[in-house]
Amino acid sequence: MLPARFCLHRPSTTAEALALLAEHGDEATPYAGGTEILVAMKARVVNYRHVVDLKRVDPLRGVIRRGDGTIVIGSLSTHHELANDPLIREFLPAYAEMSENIANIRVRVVGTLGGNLCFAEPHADPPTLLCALDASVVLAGISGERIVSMADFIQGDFATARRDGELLVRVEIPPLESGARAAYRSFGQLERPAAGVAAVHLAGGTWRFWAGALVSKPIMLAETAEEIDQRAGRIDAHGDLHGSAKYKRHLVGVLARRAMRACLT
Amino acid sequence: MNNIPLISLGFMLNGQGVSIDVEPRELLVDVLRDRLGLTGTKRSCDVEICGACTVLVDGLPVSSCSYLAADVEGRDVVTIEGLAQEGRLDPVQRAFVKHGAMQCGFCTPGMVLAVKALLTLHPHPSMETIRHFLRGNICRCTGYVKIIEAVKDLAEHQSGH
Amino acid sequence: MNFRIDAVLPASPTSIWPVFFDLGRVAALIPGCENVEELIPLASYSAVMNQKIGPFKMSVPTQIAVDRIEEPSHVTLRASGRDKFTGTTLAVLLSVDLEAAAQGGTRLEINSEIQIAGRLASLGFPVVKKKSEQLFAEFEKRLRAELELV
Repeated sequence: MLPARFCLHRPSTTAEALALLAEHGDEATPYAGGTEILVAMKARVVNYRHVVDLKRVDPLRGVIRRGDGTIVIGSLSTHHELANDPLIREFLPAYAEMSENIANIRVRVVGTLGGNLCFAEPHADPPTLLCALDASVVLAGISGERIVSMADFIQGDFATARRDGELLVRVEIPPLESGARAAYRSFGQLERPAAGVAAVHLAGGTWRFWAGALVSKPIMLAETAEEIDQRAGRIDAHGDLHGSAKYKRHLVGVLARRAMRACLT
Repeated sequence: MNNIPLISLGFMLNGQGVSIDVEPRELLVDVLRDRLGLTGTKRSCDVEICGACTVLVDGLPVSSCSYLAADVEGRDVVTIEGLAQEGRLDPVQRAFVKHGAMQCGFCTPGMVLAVKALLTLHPHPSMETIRHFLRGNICRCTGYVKIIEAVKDLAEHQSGH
Repeated sequence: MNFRIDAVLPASPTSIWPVFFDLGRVAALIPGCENVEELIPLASYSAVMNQKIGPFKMSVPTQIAVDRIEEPSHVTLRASGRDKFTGTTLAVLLSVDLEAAAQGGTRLEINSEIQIAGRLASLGFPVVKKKSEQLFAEFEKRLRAELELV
């Protein structure tokens, strides 16, 4: 189906975009690559009379590294751009690898990190790794910006901390401590992960494991390798087309060990 | 809703400038097929999974079934019709013919364009890279073997791209 | 989807019954159920069911009919409606039974059968199911709070 008729707005500044969202309230949606929202609009399971295209808002693009080592990702960065970005490849190779494996090449070329995070389809890769990396998102509203940790940002299926009228403008990833390694492994059949595990190995030898995609939001799985199986066995996973709850819990154990091995080699 | 302003769209299509007015909600696949008569691009799953609708925008593959026509403003679009030059098949097309890499042909335009993009990004891709890149283009007929052979042939023999 | 509430309450059936007799009041306890209107007392009502899961919204104009009513022990309601935009249909069967229990109290049993169909439901049934479970749990909480006041 075609989407229902809508007005397309193309602001060139964040302020213009915010003003449009404020003006049209819940009849407007921000729009980036459209890989999620346009498909939903075509299926007519969502209804927006106003679409605010963010692709001409330049400040939302690009990747920079601050003096303190924080990587700052513009929300309109596509997964393909991030997989190939020199800063991401050098300082967050686990993120580049994850980004290179999202969905298929066409989704990676068009889909943006901001769109992925804001749509909050639970079967996704970026949120799990970003939680393990202690990332935060910056939300801009008419009255200013606020920072929300990744763990607090995704609240449930299709639910985030973004209020109507706010835009996710940046994702900030603090530097891993020297000697730390991170890795992410996921598995799925239907172009989306059935389960994903991010592992971070800190220089002192301790671990952090986060699991995602199999529940409504990423969860801290374990802080030691020994705990993995027991914790995985207790996850209240969604049984759905991507797999039964039991299958997904099993996957978590397998993926956690693969992510661990990737950190250690 | 009445009085939605049309968008005055200008873009490069297969090397030629195109000017056309579109509704905001018009999809690229429909503009290419129904308004511009280029029916080589196919609509199949309509949910950006199968790749049959693949076209290149600024050299990169996109799902035209789930892409607003308005979003090609100022961009360079290449459809399957844009590959052959004056009747001479493109090297990717020649490789597909040589290796028998199609049966019904429905996935072929999208597949060929995906391969074109692959070889631009990775002129000499490994088997792993080929399989990974083409993961999103589904073929129901061939079992992919001949497609991969065609790409491997191109990967080994082409010089720069 | 089937849901059930089982409760033993200290008040007698005749004290509890008025809560359910006021069907408009019961409907208003359902999260998202708005604009409840009595069309024919004890027979038919209308309401609008508004629900939102992230960007997915639906607004279902709902007709509620009283199937059977027996004071002070039983009422069965049927509700149905359709959201125009998404084509989502809603069909609910709700039956309430009150039975005298030990020491002058009441055994309350509520059974509900809920069917949600249409594009939204078929694309995301696990999420719709989870949301329905949450809504019913919230309804139970509000109902119990209301019954405590008796």
